[in-house]
Amino acid sequence: MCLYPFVWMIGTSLKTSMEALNSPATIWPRDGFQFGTYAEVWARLDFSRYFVNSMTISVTVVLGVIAVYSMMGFALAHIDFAGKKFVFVGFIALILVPGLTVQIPLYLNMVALGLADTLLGLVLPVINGGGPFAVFLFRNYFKSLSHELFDSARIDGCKLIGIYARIYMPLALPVIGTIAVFNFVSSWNGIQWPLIILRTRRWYTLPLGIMYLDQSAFSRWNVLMAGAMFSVVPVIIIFMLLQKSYMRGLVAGAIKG
Amino acid sequence: MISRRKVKETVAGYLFCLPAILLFLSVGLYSVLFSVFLSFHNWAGVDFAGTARFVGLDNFRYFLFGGSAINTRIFFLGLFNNIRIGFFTIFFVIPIALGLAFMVTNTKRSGALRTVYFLPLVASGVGIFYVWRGLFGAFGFLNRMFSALGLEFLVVREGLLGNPRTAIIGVIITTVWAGIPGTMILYYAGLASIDETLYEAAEIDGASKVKTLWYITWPLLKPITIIIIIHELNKAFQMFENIWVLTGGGPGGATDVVGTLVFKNAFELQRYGLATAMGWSVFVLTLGLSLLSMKLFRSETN
Repeated sequence: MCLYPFVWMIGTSLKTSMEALNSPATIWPRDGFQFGTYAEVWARLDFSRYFVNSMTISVTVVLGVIAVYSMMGFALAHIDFAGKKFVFVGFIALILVPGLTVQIPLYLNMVALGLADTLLGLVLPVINGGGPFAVFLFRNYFKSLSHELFDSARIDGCKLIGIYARIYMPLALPVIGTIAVFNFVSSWNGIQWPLIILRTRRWYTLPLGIMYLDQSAFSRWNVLMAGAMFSVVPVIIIFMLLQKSYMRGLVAGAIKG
Repeated sequence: MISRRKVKETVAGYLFCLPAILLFLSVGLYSVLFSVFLSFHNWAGVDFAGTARFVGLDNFRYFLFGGSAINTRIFFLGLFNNIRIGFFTIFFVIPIALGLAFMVTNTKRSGALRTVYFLPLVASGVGIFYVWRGLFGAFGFLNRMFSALGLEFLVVREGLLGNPRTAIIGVIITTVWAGIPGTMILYYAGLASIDETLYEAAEIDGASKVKTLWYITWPLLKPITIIIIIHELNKAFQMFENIWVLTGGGPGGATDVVGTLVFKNAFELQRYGLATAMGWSVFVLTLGLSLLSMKLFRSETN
């Protein structure tokens, strides 16, 4: 049950267009493997460009989320400042606001800023959207590390930024892994916001590219599935590589808090 | 008196939070406030100062209280779909995920197996939605399987998603499939956090396996279950992407949910005020749910 859709995807992508259309229910192609479809999708149908766009966006989102919210999580966990509780609660409350409602004014906002139909306009709200979850995990994780570490580094005259970057960040690798996987996957698979903010095909991400194929190459299922493979395989590889750290960080960040 | 040290710490604290706060103010908070404002206006999307008209609660009246009979009907049908999807997803996901979590915790060398189970979590995107469309198609796997098994009465000639009566079933199958891994991770984490000594003590006291399960494991998993239910309901209320790709809300609006209605009203019909108002009415529901869950959660953990 878990695997069947993937097997079907692979099988269909290797069929000829005729066979994919006429006998969709069989798994394995009868007329030999058609690897040419992949080349066609990658080069002629612009998937190389969509791939680069998707990669750029997801990597930027991951780096942005980790940089911005690990700093905030660190401050919330170890620096003693006025209004800390207010900042934390106000920030987490953002989770409650429904995505689609906000995306309308967000879109208009981006138009006004001249960021509609740009990768930056796509990325900034996605980073902000990843905030609450990341702050929550980072804060809880940093809190679970000893505060004595902080105090003794302080006495040794270490600057706050140094304590954050050289002592606490290296210890936070499991949570960083969790947050990286989570944000990479969600921005990689995102449809809703890209659909709203991107207009020209030049900036399309893989999901939009696949939907575009659906409209333009109607009922060429082999082409569609080859396109789908380009979007599915990278996340699977990344997940497999980071799986252990993903689980550990999730358990550590969620339970210890 | 506030010490100099405290002032310095406060400044440092805010400096560390600065990027996050800036992003929050410019992207997050601004949009939230403007969307509240927008929901009381009638506006087609260009030149707000010049063309937007303040209409008070008219937007809400329009689709909630029969201001437009047909739009009210469409909205509540959409909401009903959200609820149906949420209910059935939870109904199937929880027992399956719990069972699988038990299996994974209790098998040695579960690494490879785990990867397989978690695949739907990471790979659930546009690609998979198209696979479902293929499998549910008129000559797709599902129909072929039913006729091969002699279950002709289960075959939907137009394909599961092509028939207004059955399309929602197709949607629910996909949400169940996609919902299992995340739920399973939560249960898995929950099971892993249960203190081993509790089980040992129960064993010494001669408690049966079933009794241990009922009196030790289940009470400890209850808070997690509440979180899962709330989370799934929230997801169901905000659903958009999978439906947009699977059916586009069709056929004939049979699988429209509030999310697709908001999208269509805003970006196809340019009725921005109305669309935001729709979004906010669902927000009231999800907010209620979240508050309820926090209350339940508090009383469970105390």
